[in-house]
Amino acid sequence: MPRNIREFHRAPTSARALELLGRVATPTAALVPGPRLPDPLFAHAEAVVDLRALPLNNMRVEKDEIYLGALVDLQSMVKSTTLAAVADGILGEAAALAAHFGLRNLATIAGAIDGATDAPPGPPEVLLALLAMGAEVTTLAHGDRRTPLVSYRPAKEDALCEIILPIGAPMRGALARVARSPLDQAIVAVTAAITPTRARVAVAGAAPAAFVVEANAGTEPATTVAELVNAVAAHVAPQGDYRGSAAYRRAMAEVLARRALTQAFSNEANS
Amino acid sequence: MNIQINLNNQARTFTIEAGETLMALLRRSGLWSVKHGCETGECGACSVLVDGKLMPTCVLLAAEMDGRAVTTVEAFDRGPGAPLDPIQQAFAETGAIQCGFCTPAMVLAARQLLDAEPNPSEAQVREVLGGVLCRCTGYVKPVEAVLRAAALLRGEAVPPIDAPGGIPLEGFFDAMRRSPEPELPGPDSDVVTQTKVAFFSFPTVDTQTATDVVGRPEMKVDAVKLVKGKPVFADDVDLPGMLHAAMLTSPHAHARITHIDADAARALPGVHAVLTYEDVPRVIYASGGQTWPNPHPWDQVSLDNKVRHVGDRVAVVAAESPEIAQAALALIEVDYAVLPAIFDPIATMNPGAPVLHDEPDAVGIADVERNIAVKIHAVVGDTQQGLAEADYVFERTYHVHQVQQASIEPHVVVTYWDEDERLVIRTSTQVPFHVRRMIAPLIGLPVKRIRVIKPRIGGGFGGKQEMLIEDLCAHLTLATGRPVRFEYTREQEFSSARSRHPMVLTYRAGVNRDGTLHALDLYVVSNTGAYGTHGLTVCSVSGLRGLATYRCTHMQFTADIVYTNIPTPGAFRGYGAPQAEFALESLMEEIATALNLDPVEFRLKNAVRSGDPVPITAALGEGEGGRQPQIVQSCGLEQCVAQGAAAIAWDKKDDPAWRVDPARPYIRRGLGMAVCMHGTAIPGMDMGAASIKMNDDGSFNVLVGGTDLGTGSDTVLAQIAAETLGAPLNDIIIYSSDTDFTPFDTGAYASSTTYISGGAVKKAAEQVRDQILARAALMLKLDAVDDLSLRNRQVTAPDGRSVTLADVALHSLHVADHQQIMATASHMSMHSPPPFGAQYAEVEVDTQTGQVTTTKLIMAVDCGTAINPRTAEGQIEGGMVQALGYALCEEMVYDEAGRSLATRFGDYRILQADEMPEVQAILVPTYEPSGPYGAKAVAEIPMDGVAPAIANAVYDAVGVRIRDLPITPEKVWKALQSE
Repeated sequence: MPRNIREFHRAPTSARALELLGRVATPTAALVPGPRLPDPLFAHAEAVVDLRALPLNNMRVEKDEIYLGALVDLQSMVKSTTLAAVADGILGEAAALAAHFGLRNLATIAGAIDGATDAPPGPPEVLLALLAMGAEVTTLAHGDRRTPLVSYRPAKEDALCEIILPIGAPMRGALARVARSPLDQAIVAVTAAITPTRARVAVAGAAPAAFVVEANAGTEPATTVAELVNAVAAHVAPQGDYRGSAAYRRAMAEVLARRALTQAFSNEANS
Repeated sequence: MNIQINLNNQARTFTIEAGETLMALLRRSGLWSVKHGCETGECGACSVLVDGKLMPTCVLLAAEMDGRAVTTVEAFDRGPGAPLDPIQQAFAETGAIQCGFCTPAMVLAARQLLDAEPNPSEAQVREVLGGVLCRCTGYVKPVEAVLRAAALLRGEAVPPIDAPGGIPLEGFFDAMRRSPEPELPGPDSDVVTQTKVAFFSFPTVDTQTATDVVGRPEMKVDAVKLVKGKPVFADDVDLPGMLHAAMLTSPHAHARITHIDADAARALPGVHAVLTYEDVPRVIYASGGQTWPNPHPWDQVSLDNKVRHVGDRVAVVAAESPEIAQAALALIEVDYAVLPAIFDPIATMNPGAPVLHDEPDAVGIADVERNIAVKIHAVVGDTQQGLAEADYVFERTYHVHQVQQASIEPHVVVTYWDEDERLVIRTSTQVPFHVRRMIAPLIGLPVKRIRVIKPRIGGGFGGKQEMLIEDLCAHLTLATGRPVRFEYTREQEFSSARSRHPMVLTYRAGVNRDGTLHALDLYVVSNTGAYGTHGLTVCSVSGLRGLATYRCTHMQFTADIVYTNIPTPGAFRGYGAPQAEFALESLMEEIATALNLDPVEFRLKNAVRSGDPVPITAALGEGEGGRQPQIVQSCGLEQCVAQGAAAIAWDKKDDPAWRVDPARPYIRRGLGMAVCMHGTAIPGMDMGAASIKMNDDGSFNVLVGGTDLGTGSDTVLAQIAAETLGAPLNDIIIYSSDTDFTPFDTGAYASSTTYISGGAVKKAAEQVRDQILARAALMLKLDAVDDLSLRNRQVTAPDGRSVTLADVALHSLHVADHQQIMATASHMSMHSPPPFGAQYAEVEVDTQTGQVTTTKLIMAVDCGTAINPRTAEGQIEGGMVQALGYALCEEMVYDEAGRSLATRFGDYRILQADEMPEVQAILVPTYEPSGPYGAKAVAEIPMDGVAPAIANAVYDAVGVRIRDLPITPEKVWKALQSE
């Protein structure tokens, strides 16, 4: 934890949280721990805001949607029977891959999203699962305005409020990844989620940021798989690092997209 | 600000700073069970229960805890002598504790699980233990402990841990001990023609006459204090007036410091000292913790005006708080003249390459201009002739990489003046006596004014066989007169500590048509980074291990140990052997495959046996000189191969159905193996000593200089003493080590402690035993002691009369012919008996991604007599898992400027409990006549065979040969693509 933190605030309301986060004279960061800590935001912050007093730590099902508060911890997602029943449990599986047990008790879904968006060092699977499932988000500043997760970008002066998953249509899913060890951060990771009408693939490790491609799912699975794999191939723009070269990442994006999609369709066929 | 915490079931109010971590608060509150291992929450050693959930405290603000419940293991301490909490009891009983640094956090992880799930599955146990990295155990016994604890908490009966064991009684061993040991040839003799000696086979154990302590899985003597999280480690003290040190390191891989200005830092309130190269004497030394005189080159000074790697020392600060120390570092102005850097170990030898050590006062560098620190050349026979004579010649080159010891406890030291104005150095070291000797000239104090205390060590693995930071901390105490604490951050562990030498190894092998090895030539380029330290000796061991396992008429070892601008490698468990064994055992597999020979039979056909000389030992020592020809006196290799093969079901290699997975058609399975031969101590060099004295109640104090770094050596040494003295283990009070009070020992390295320090303990115990028997004879009015027996705390005469050890002690101390029964003995050996092992691996290879997943690791080891089978198993299990990381996922990597890219756990991948293969250790007993109770080493050999066994398994699965560690997905994928 950086030693530059001079103020600690507990925000009793969203308004107070936003007020604190919006300060210019005293750079302030929200305490939204992710799986990779400490939060890089803290390096430039002089104050932090604890959001635990806000009602952000619950998971509920309403109509055809699941609402996940921004502070729901990753271990709760791993254990959630509600999430396990959606898209073959890829969100819980993704949460399990994000960090070890102790960090999952501490890290939040919002932290996992913020830490994996744009050019992140953080584990990507939670973000990918949510992207493939077509999640939407709200923020403290815009509590009544939903934004597709794919369009969301973290802002220092705001914080995630809720993540909303559509479950109106039956959804199957699969996650595929390659890493140096079973629980190491993925070199390339892919999630796939399919409903009767749409198929969506989210990819990380093969471009500067995670990306999503989607297609109609009304045709033969093989056709959809081919279409989406081609789309993935068209989107990849990998940068190599010590875990894997650009060429390897490019190849793996296609391999894993095909694998995840095939698995998801297989799950559907077997359901 | 003030916060209220329900801390260990007590309401407490604390005044804190806004940025203070929970870890800092708990430790300054005296809850020493909360350990610092990193700053990113990834090691989990600092974890506590927050509202019943395990969380790492180094990434939690204390302020977040207001109104919450925090639990540490101190909450479960029922007081001295009281029964342990069932979870802690299970950890202690099962041998789940090695260094014990991560144990409190593991206990808490188990607590969270068992509070919610009384009957957990192994997968659930592994999941929660995944929150705590353990570098010692391989997680096998911690998992066993949690399952046992669950049963205890359910009220179920659990099997006793003191299972039948032991080895034949001491009388047998006395006979062995009194037998003349085989005479070894001199350095200049022709060992190949040495007359065969007599050999001993392991006798069948008669349970009626088995040993009482040796050979039994006794609970570790330090288990209770470790499982309770007692303040036993170097950093678990808070001295009045203690200052905190911080180190400024180089941002450049190679540069000269042209100007350094520390005035602003010195002026910062709270700063007590800032030291740069301008402030400390320039004394040349080598930092490797080795026997006097330290091997060349001597190429270091405490602080220099030149930096040779990113992370090299520039300045140190002592201040009243860690925060002020860090702030002071930022105020030190340094002007660097950046120099070209070189990272390639081959190119560094080229003319025109940047010269790292152009200083005039370095001593013993082999070739300054070519950046060659040391050269080695050793010959047996005539390799050129041998290769020319052979029917086939194979040449292969293998690359092995740099990895870190990554002990969970970082390097940490506290220095202070005592009341006699002697400097006390409380440090986490494997080599306290070497530290005392080596630091003296650097700080200008005589040895007699220095006392080094080695408390418990939170893992070392060779990384603490180094005088790494003690000199800087001592300089700060000398400058300030105050106690100073200096601890590396995890990032500094990766940039400024030691690591394993990367090497390029080229073998040429001459093989005859009948499968007989005829010639072996090994050329190694070893990258010793910025400084020489262990460069010579590590590479010597590469030659010894790379050319010892197989009989061969002609052998040659040549090595260039070169400087580059990477952080300096040093000692790391295995010490040059894992590098050589990867190359050797890959080569053996390649030769067998090429010649269509069974790889196992090919190995056994050529492997050394009992009675064989080890010719390379006549030509190559460990370091400068030190050649000491060896003959194998005990060898269980064939049994190891057979038992390992049976355990892994080696025959399934031939089953096509096993090799595939219909549900995952892209998966192929394979099996691989490697044989291993290590050494035990450095012959003619390593020495240990022990002192034993008897107390009024018949208990014994045993003082040893040997350093238990988590291996269980204190327990093993105490078992040797107990067995010899006819006492139970809990009558032995063992202490290690303190240079003021314990006798000399070279330290914990070279797999020497059981063999060398154990030999000293046995000698001292035998002398004490003789005194006890003489005293008993006096008490029983007997003329002779020959027929007296000493067992179960009493001396018994042939006529049935007896006296207890307490009787003997009281008589000797208070009644007649007053005498303190005590003895001190030293032990050194000209033998270095090799332990043997057979390593097996089962893998799954993803043919589309190249990812290799290890599903089973099994190692059968001949370590002679396992003095404590449970701790011996723990060494094998933990070593295999470290070696698995070496094979697959651990790697120190740098950018083009030499900056480390893996500066934290996670990026530097240490395997977690919940991603482990099945791990099994098999002990194959033999009897080593030169070792105490037949023992030889076990600590390092588990590092040797995993990487080649996995490489061979990958080949078995998919037919591609990886000669470059680590075996990453991309390397396998590329190899598959080129097929």
